[in-house]
Amino acid sequence: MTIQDDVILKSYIEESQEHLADIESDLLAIEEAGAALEEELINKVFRAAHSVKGGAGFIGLNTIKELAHKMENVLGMIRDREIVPNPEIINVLLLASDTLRNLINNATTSDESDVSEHIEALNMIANTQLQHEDKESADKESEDESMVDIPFPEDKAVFTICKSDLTQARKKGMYVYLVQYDLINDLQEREKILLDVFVSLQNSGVILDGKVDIDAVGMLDDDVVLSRFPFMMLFASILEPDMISTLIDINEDRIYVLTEDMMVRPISQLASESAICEEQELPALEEKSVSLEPEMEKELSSLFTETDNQKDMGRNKEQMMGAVNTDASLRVNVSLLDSLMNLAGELVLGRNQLLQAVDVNDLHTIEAVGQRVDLITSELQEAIMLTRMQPIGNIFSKFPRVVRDLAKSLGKEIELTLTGKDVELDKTIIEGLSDPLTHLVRNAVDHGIELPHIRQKEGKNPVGQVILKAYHEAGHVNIVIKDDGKGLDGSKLSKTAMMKGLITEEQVIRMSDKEKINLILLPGFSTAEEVTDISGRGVGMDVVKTNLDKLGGVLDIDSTPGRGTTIWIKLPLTLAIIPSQIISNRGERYAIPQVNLNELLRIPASQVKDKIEIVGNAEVVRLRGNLLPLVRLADVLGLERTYIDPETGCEELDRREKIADRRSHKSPLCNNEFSKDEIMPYSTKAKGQNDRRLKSDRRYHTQSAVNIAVVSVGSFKYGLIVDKFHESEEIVVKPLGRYLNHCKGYAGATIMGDGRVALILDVPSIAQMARLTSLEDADRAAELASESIKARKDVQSLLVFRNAEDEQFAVSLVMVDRIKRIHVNEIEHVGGKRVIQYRGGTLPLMSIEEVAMVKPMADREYFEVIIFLLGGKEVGLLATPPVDAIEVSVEIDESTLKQPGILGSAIIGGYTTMLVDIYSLVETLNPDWFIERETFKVFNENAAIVLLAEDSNFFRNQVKGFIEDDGYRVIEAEDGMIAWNLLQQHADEISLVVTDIEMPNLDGFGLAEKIKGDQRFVHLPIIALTSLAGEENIARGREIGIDDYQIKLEKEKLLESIYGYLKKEGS
Amino acid sequence: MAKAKKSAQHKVIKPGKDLVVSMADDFRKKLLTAVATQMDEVVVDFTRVVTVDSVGLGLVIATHNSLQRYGGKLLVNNVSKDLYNLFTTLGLHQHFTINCVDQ
Repeated sequence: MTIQDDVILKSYIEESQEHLADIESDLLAIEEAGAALEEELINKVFRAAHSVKGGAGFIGLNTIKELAHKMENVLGMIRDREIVPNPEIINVLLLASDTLRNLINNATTSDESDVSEHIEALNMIANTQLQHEDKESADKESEDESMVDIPFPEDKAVFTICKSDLTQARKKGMYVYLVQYDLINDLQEREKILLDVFVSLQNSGVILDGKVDIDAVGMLDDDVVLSRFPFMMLFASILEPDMISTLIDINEDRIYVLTEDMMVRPISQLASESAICEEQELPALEEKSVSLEPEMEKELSSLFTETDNQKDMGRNKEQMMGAVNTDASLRVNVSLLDSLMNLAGELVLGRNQLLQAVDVNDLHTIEAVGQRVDLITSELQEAIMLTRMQPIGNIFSKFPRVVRDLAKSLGKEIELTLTGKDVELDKTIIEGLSDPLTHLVRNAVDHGIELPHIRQKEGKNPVGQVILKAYHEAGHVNIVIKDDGKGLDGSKLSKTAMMKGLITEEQVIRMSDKEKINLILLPGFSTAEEVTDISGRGVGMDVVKTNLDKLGGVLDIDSTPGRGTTIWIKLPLTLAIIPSQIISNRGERYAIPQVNLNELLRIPASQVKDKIEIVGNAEVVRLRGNLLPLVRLADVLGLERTYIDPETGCEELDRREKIADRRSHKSPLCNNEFSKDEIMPYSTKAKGQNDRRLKSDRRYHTQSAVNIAVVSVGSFKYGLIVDKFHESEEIVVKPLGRYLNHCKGYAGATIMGDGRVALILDVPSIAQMARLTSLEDADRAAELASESIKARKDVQSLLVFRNAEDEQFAVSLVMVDRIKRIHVNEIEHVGGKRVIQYRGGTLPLMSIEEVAMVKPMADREYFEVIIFLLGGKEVGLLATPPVDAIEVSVEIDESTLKQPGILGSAIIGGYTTMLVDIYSLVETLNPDWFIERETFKVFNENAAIVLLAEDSNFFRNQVKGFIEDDGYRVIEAEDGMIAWNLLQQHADEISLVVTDIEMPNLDGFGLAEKIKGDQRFVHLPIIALTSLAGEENIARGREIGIDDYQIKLEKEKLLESIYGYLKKEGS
Repeated sequence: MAKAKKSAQHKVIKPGKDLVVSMADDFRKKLLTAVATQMDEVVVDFTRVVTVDSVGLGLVIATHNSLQRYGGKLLVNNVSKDLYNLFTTLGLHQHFTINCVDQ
C-alpha cells in the first residue's frame, strides 16, 4: 500500500463517506422503482461507486478499489438496462456498500480485509448477465476488433489501439488521455522513482499504450549527457480532466484528452471551459470541505503513523479513528465562512479602535466601539452556531435501510414515513441522537409492528406504519417516533417489572397507566419474551433515556394497546449557549434557563396578602385562577432569607415564616410612628383598621414587592421566589467542576459580563429539593382521574353519601337530579308522609331504612336531600354528609348485602358501600307510580326477545332484570363475540340488541359494526349502554349505526327506548 | 559493480542491484566495450537489478540504438516482474527482447 499522504487519505475518506452516505437510500429507491428506475438515480449511485474506486486506486487502497470496481460493474449494467434491479441484486449491493463503508472508515487496514464474498456475489450477477450477453453479441464484438489510430498532436507518434479497448474504457466512465512524459525532466530531475510512478498510474487507470521515443535517447557513445527521454502514453482513467494533473504531475500542456468525437484537446484548455459550465450548472459545488480543528488533524495523522507497526492494537485505534474522523471535520458553506471572515475582520477593527480610544481615554468612542463589538460578537456567535447546525436528515437517512432490513428479517411489512429532514440541530446533538433514535426505530419495528397475518386478523392494514417526524416548536426540536403496532400493555409491563424485582406490588397499585408504560425506561427492563439480536437486550430504553438526558432532551411515551406507541423527544437546538433569565438572591446571581421559565411575576407589596395564600402548610400564589406552589430559592439553597429595607437600602434578615405575615415590631421597618395596632399580629387586629395605613407604609414601596419566577418542569409549574430580577442574557454553559458535582440544584455555571461566576439553576432538581411531592400526588390523582375517564372501562359515576354516620351508600350519579341541603325544621309530616316544600311544590321524602334493613338515619340539624326524577315525578332521598361525587371502577358484590332497596355492595374508599336501588325504593313506597307506562306486551302475546351484551355480571343482571320485568325475554352474552354468535343462532328471534361499549374480545362498536354490516341484521335496532356517555363515543357510535345511547341503570329511559324501537319495528 | 562476461557470439553484462545514475558511467563503459567489439548480441542480465531509474533505462535503450547501427541485437534477461511490467508499459518490448524472470 502506498499511502503517500495522510492529508490526502483523510480527505479521501471524508469524500467517500459522503459519496456513500446517500448510496443506501438511493439503492432502496432503485429497488422500489425496479425496471422503471430513473436514469439520474442510477447515475448518482454509479458515480458514487466510481469516485470511491478512483480515489482508492489513486491512494493505493486495493481492496476498496476492487470492491468499488465490482459494484460499479453491476451498477453499470443496471444503468445500461442490461439487468433489472431486483431485491436480490440490491441486497448484494447494499451489503457490499456496507462493507465498503467499513473499509473506508478503517482505510489503513482495509487491505487486510477479506471481501471475496462480496466480490464473488457481484461477479456472479455480472457473469450471469455476461454469459447471456456473450451469445447475443458475439458478432457485434468482432466488429469492435478493428484498430483505430490516435495521432499525438505536434508529434509523429501515432497510437494504434483496439477499438473495443477504447469503448470498454469509455463504458467504464473513463476519460482517455494522451500524456507526454519526459522521464528525465519529469522524474529523474525531480527525484521520483520510475517504478513507483508507473505503479501509481496503473492503480488509477489503464495504460492502453505507451511509446518511448528511443531515437531521442541517442547512442551509447554520445558524449552529451542524456537530457531528454520522451515517453508518450495513452492513459485511461476515471479521474476527471481537472483532477488528472494531481496524478500525472507534469505541465498540463503535455496532457491531452481524447474527446468522444476522437478529437485530441489539451486539458488546460478544457479545464477553463468546463469550469464555466460547472459554475452555471452546479452552484452547490461551491461547498468545499473545510477542516476545522487542525490540532485534531495532527493527532489523527500521528495515530496513523503509530498504527503501522502494531496491527492488532492499531486496528482498534483506527476503528476509533474512523469514528473520530467523521467528527473531526465538517462541511460548511463557503459563503458562511466568508461571513465569519468578515466578522473577524470587523472585530479586529473594533479592537484597534478600542485600544486607541482607551489610550486617549475617549469615553464617547469607547462607548460607541463597545456597542459595535457587542453587535459583531452576537453576529459572530450566530454565524459560528450556524456552522455547527446539521440537518437531522443526516441521521434519518439511514432508517429506510434499517427498517427495510429489519422488516425483511422479521417477515414484516413496514412502511416508513420520514418528515422534517431539513430540521437542523447542533452537531453534538445530532451525533448523540443517532444511537437512541436507531434504538427506538428498531424497537418500533421489532416489538411494535405485528406480523402481517396478526395485523390482518385484528382488522389492521397488514403493512405497518412507522412515522419518524422532526419539527421545530418554541425554540426546541421535537422528534416523534410513532408506530401503529400492538402498543405497550401497562399491566404486562408492571408485571414484568415486578417479576424482575424492579418495583413492588404496592407501587404498582398506586401507578397510573402512563407510569406503568414509563417502567420501560427502568434500567434492566426488556419485555421481549425472546431476546433478539435486533433489540430487546434489556439494556435498551434506559440507555436511550440516559443518552437523551445527556443531550438535555426529554422523553415521553404514550401508548394504546392495539393501536400503537408514540414516543416524543424534545431537544434543545444547541447545548453550548442558552438564553436565560438572570436573577439574584442575597446578592449572588443565578441563571434560570429560558426553557424552564414561563413568566415573571411581581406581586406588589400591597397585594401580597391577597395573592399569596397558605394551603396546608405550603404557600401558593393565585395566578389566573390556578394555584401555583411557591418555593423560596433561599430556603432550597440553604441561604438565610433576607429583604432589602426600602428606606435604607440595606439587606436585612427576614424572620417572617410566611410572606404574607407582617413584620414584627422588632423589624427596623416598624417604627414608632405607627400605632400599636399596626404591629399587632394580624389575627388580633380588628377589621377596618387597614384603612389607617399610611401612604409611606413599606407595603406601598416598590422594593417590598415579591418577585416570582414561574418555572416549569414538563407540565408541572411552580413559582420560585427570588430577591431580584435582572436582564435576560445568553449565557455560555460551563460544566461544574468535579468538586461541585454533588451539589444538587445546579445545572452548570456561566461567567457573567463582569467576570463573576453565576450558577445555572436546575429547575427540576430544585422542585425535588423543595419536596413538591404532594403536588406530584395531586398530579397523579388528576392523571388517574382523566385516564379512567379516558378508559371508560366499567367506570361508575357514583354519588356517595351516608345514612347512619357509619354506613356508606351510593347511587348512580346520572340518576341524581340535584342535591339540596335542608334544615330539619323544613321537614313536614303531612298525610303520613314526610315532605318538604320545593320549587313551589311538595317533594316527597324517603329514607333508605324505610325499605332496607340498615341503621336508622343519624339525628342531625341539617340533612342533604338527593332529588331523583323518576317516571316524571320528583322524589327526595334523605342523606347525611359527607356527600361526594366520585368516579370509580368497582367490583360489585351482588349477593352478600342484596335486599329490597339495595342492589349490592362494593368497597369504595375503604368502606363497604351499599348501592341503593332507587327504583325499588320508590316502587315499594309508592307502588302506583310506574303503572302508567306502556309496555310492549300489550301489543304482543309472544314477548319480544332482546339480546343483551354486557361483560359485567352485575350490570348484566340488573339490566336483564328490569328488561324482563317489563315483559321482554332476554338472551344474555358476556361479550361482543358471544353476542354475535348468539345472534346468528337466534337470527330470526331477536328483535333488538342492547350492548355495553367496553367489552373484551369484541367491543360494542365492533359488535354494532358486524350487525350493521350483515344484511340479515341490518334492520336490528341497537341501543348502546354506557356508564357515562361521552360525546366522542356517541358520535362514533352513530357513524357505525348505533341507534340510541342509554345510561346503564337508567331504567326508565332505557325501557322507554326499547319500547319505542320495538313499536317502530312492530308497525 | 557491473561484470562483463564474453562468450563466442554474445556478451553478457550483469549489472548490480541499482541501475541508476550513480552507476551509469561504469555501466556505460561495459556496454560501450561490448558494442565496440561489434558483438552480435549483447545480453543484459537483470538478475540482480532491483532499481532502475530513467538514466539507467536510457543506457539500455542507447545500447539497443547503438547495436541497431550494425545489426546487433539486445537481449534483456531475468527481469523481475515489476520491471518487466514497467518495460512493457513503456513499449520497450516492441524494440528488443525482454525476458521476465519467470519465463
